[in-house]
Amino acid sequence: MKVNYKVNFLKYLYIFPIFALIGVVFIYPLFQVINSSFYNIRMGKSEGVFIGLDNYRLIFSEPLFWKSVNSTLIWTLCSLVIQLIIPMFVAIILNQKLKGIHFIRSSVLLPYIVPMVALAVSMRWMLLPEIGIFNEILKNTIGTQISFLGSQNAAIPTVVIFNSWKLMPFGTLLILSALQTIPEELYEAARVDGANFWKQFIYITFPLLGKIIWFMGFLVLVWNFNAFDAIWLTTEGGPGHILQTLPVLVYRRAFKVFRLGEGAAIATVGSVFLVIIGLLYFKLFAPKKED
Amino acid sequence: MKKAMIWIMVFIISSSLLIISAGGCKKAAEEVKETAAEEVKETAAEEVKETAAEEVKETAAEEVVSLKFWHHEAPAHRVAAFEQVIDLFEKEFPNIKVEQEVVMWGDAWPKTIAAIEAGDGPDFQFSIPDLLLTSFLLDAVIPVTDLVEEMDQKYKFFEGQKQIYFHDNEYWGIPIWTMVMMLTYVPSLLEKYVGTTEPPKDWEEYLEYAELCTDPDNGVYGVALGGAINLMTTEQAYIFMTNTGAKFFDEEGNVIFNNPKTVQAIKMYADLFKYNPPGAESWSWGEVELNTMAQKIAMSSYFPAVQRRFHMELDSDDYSGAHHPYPSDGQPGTLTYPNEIHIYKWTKDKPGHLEATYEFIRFLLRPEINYIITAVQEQGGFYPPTEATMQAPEFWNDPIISRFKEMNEFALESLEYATLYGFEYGKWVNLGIGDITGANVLAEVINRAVTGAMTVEQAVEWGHNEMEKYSVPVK
Repeated sequence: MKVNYKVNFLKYLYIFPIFALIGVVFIYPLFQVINSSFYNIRMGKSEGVFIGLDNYRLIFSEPLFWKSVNSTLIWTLCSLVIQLIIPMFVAIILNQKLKGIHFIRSSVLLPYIVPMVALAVSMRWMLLPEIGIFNEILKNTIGTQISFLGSQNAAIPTVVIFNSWKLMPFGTLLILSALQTIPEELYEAARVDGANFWKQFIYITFPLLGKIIWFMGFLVLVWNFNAFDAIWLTTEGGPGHILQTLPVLVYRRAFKVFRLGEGAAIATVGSVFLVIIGLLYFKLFAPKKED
Repeated sequence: MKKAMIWIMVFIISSSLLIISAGGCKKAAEEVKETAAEEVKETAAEEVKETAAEEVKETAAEEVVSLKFWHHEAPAHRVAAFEQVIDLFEKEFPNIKVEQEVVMWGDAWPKTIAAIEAGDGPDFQFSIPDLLLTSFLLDAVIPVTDLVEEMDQKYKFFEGQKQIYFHDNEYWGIPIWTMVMMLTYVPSLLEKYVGTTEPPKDWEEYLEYAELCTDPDNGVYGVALGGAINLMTTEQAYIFMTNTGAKFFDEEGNVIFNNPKTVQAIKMYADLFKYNPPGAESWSWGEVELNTMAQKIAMSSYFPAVQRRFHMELDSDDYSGAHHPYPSDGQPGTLTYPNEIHIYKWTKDKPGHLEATYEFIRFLLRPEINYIITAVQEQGGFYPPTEATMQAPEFWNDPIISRFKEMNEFALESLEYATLYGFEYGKWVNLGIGDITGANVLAEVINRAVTGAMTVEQAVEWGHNEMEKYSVPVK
């Protein structure tokens, strides 16, 4: 068979800009970070001293690094569960034919539209003990107060819920659009066969949403593993180091004490870790073709 | 198709590698070029420079010189104060245009370093000693001894405000304003719970009053002291260290953090911390100010800057300040955060820029202008660094300064003994202080002590070892 090289060349030429862009904005910085992790770079001086794997030895020997790994895993897993389950149920509700549903659907988008910095600062004030509105409500209803951001036990759930609330509209809309592609006839047939809402969800909705939930799961995993703004703007990684996830540790190391090499080493380890998790996710949870 | 895609990826990766190595080669070539150029500059250009400078001055006087500076005061009213000063300056010096650029404090270090690496940035920058040290270590600033001496003769700098920038027989920053912490309190709460409007005079009273004022049922607490790993906690904790005479370094720059005086100070901090509102382990400046304004906190070791909000938002003068209490075996002490202006090397190379910068700084230190950049910008937040402005009628006639006159007088008195961590000796003793502050070591010592993660002794020992990691004593 004769291959039309001219046509093939043109195809590759068309997609070349996007590959070039990926090369410049992703691959080049990635190599730079990996390269920097082998140097002792102080105070922004680009001419660091080559120290081989010393930065890696140092970070692996630090209890703080392992604490950060632990915090990252807890943060990511909690976020993953919340950001997959709640949007699914919200989407199912929004998929109902109710009065004013279009207005409600638009309203759900609000947290996604408002900038994180504005939300985080408002949230910090609203969660304050004594003068924050949430504690005022708690005080007047159940007579107790919670130090949402100041307590080691409450900080992770509080920030996870806040961050999930901010990101929820994305998942909700994605699942909602998938729900709208499920033919109504399937539900009608199920209802004729006597299936209740729960059975319809288990046997029709959930299997047909499988691919989109799997895809969303991957996005949520990556986004939350790399989440920085919600944590930094609310607690700066505290109280103590309870919310000092790997991105927060990278920022502190690179831009607070200017140990860029150590920051790069932590970032590299984080990236490798994420790639491994990503590969495992694809390998273990990817929907089978016949699904 | 698959094969072709693989080839494309290989091409992109190898192009990226080529770019990296080309960048490296280019950098090396540039370095050689730069050193050669510098040598030439130093020999030939030095001679030419002197004569050329006069010519440049003449032409520059006719041409408009555009200056750009960075500062870090983002609130709208602070930016407006800067704009007011710039307008007045440009009116008087129509051939100099000045542009302010706000760089948030959180970005100040990375952006400064990036600008220095790029070899181009603002002509000068408003900054604090730690940031000046960063620029100094990168060999990016010029000495300003002549201007400091000239302004000192004219307006008389407070000694402590000037000395902090003296190193290697030169001044590297020009004092422009200063900040000071003190004991701030709400008189009505003291009266209600202690039966007096007089603030505590020593640590024993401080602790006693804090306990008396703590009334969780009514949402009132004795103190507001931070426990988070942030700069505010560092600042507040340092006040207690000054009261016992504890320091980070000795005069030779050796770390001496782990000593009985530090332990005494941190123990007091931890004892007082019990009378904080819940959640203070995560507090920053905003939380302290909001709670003070809501009259939920009786006392705080803090900047007296909340006076502006009491005046403007509450129209109340139920807010006052006093010298910070100290133990019977201790000494008066508190924290000052002097602010300065430093000038970059590249400013010298741009015709007319250095002269224009000097002119602008001279203008800023005129008492009537320095009043705008201090009191108008943030009453109680920024105080003048010179005796001349401190005595200026404009300063004391300001409606907020005069409303909280006693508090502001105490604040200015406190400047006589106030110090800043790492800069207590009138000279630079340890160049690692910027990193120690950046790493929030003192704040983390406090956090470990107040959360019970460690005993005070263990936390102080831990802090000492951390400081050793960053320590760079000046030889």
